[in-house]
Amino acid sequence: MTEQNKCANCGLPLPSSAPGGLCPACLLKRGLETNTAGYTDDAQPLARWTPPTVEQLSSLFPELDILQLIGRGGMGAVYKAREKQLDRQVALKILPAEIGRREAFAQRFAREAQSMARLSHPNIVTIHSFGRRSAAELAGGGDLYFFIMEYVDGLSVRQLLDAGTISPKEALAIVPQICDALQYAHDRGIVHRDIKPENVLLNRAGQVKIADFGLAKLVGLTAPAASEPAAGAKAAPGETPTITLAGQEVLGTPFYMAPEQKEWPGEVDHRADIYSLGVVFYEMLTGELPKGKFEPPSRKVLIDVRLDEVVLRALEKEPERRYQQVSEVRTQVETIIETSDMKNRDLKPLNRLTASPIPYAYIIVVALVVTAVWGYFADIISGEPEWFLPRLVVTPLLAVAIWWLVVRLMINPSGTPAATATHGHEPAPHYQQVSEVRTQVETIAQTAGGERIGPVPAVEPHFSRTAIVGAIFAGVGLVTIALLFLSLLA
Amino acid sequence: MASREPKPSPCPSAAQFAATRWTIVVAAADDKGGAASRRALEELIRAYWFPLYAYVRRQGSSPEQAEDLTQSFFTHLLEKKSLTHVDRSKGRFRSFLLAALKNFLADERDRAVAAKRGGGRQFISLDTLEAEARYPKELADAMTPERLFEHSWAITLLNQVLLRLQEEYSEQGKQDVFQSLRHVLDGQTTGQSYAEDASRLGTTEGAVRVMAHRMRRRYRELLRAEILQTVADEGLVDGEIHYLLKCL
Repeated sequence: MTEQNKCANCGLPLPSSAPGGLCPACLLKRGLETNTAGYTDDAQPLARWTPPTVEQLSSLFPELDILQLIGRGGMGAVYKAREKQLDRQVALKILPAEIGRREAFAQRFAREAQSMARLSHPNIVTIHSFGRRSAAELAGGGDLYFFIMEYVDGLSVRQLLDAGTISPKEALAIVPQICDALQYAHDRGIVHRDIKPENVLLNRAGQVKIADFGLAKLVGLTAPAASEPAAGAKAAPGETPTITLAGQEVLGTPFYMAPEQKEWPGEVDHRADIYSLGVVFYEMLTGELPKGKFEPPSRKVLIDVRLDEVVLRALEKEPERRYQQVSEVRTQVETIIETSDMKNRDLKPLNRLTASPIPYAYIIVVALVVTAVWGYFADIISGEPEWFLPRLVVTPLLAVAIWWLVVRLMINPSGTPAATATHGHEPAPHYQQVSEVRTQVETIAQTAGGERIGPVPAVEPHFSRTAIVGAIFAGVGLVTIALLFLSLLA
Repeated sequence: MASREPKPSPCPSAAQFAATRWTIVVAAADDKGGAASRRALEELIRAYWFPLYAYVRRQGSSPEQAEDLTQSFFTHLLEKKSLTHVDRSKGRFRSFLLAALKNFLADERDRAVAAKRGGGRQFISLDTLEAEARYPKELADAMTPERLFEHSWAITLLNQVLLRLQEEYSEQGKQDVFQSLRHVLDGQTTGQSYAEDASRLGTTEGAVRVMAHRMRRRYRELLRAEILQTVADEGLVDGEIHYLLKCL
């Protein structure tokens, strides 16, 4: 039998009746609800739950102006809303009704939601409030559990991936922010458990916001069953629902799960998040998922080879062999960023200025020439030739020293620390990298959302040409002053 | 052919399709009347006749017999003889159609097919050659007729949607964009560069990315809309997709 073509995306064989040569399974899957500012996930336990309509919710939440449904998935539905009193935009997340009906859910919710809400970090979607409302006619005689969260105006990494490749620079701007968020949460004992591109949001300023921290644990999603259940199979009451399979394929999420998360869901610790981060990192760099025997990213994309190590170590099957802390990942990535050619070329004009030998050579030559000429007239003609040589030696050295001092002084007080070596863990992002992310996000968001947003002021800390030329002239001027000074001494 | 939908808007909703064709048919089931109901049914059949043909073929009929039977079935349906089955199908046209077809075939076998041909009236024209060409012989033998019906249904659905998408783009004079970028729809080429497409369309890669994103989004809207035409409400759309995925 001849080899059948396989779909490059899902791996299923392409039938001869494939519409337009496209994979029917992938075409169909596109119809599922996944695309809206990352508030949804691909995991669909049953897809039978119809989220409440905007009208229904309006009566349930009188303090909010419910604007529209912006996403839905197995973990709930999200609506864009406006808090009337505070006049601010929020996102309202409603959990599926059947989850609320499970035994002992109420106590768990109260406990878990509280710790989720305590997370306050610039890279984590803030939870403003949570609770439940009784909605007899909606939830079929139960309560509707909800979260009110920060509204992120932007896109998810999934949408960026769908729209085209993310450049390595953008990926390197995003990853450290994810690390920050994860480390913060891990320090407080919270594991995300469901890191994936759909949950990593980017606002229009290019800032990362991670959504659904700890939600997976609350909702109790476990790894998928390997067999094929019938569509419509319901989880027994009290049991945790499983992500059912449709056809032979898993829909989305479990691919980002660490191996230990799939085998022993109860024994998972923060290192599972590191694995998921590795998968997302790989996908951002290469556009593909690390499946089976996959190639290191540097073989697929033009990036620093040292990044391979970071990604591969994060993707280690055994948790002990991975990074043990997310902050380690961040440090590694930042070290690579700083010491790679890429960064030196683009991000350190000032260090280049002091490091490069060109201005020094220029100054020395000028100083020598000027000193020689001046010395000729001042010393030789005036009859004191013994001063000529010392002057010739000292003046250039003095000029160089003054030049170095001047440039250094010009760097520090102007307050552009981002352009110099960045050490430590500042919460501020690397501007030049993030501005590219922002441009990308804006381009897509503008055309996707149809709204015109005003230009966001760019932060570009580099030195203009005039400043550099000015510095050189100032240096030369100082040489002259030094010469005169020496003459006075003589 | 179906009426034209309005130009793509950022937030499509079920409201844009005021009443799905299937709901019209279902609503009219009781009083068995209404030209609107009949027209709706006709439109649905016009789009989804192929899975029926495939089912009949798989049952063992020759191409000619299959065509005959399918035509008779349509006549039978459109003469409102079988709308009493409607409530049993749980709000899906697909299920209804298969159930109705099975009943019809069972009856026809009792009555000896050859004699009845609906009086020569043909509501829907079947292109037998096209039907036979599309019939997936190898695949079919490995499936039950029901499974083949559903498989063909899914493929037909996707073809419908692609056709609509193409028409939309043509209407806007963007036929070339559609042809160049249709390959993005199933995600097989995600992550690759759009350089080739950009040069073919005479534009930048960035612009192509945006176009692709838009096309994918519009495709998804149309897909959901098309499925919505055959189920009773929005809430059933996801379930239908999941079910059809199993049938591929």
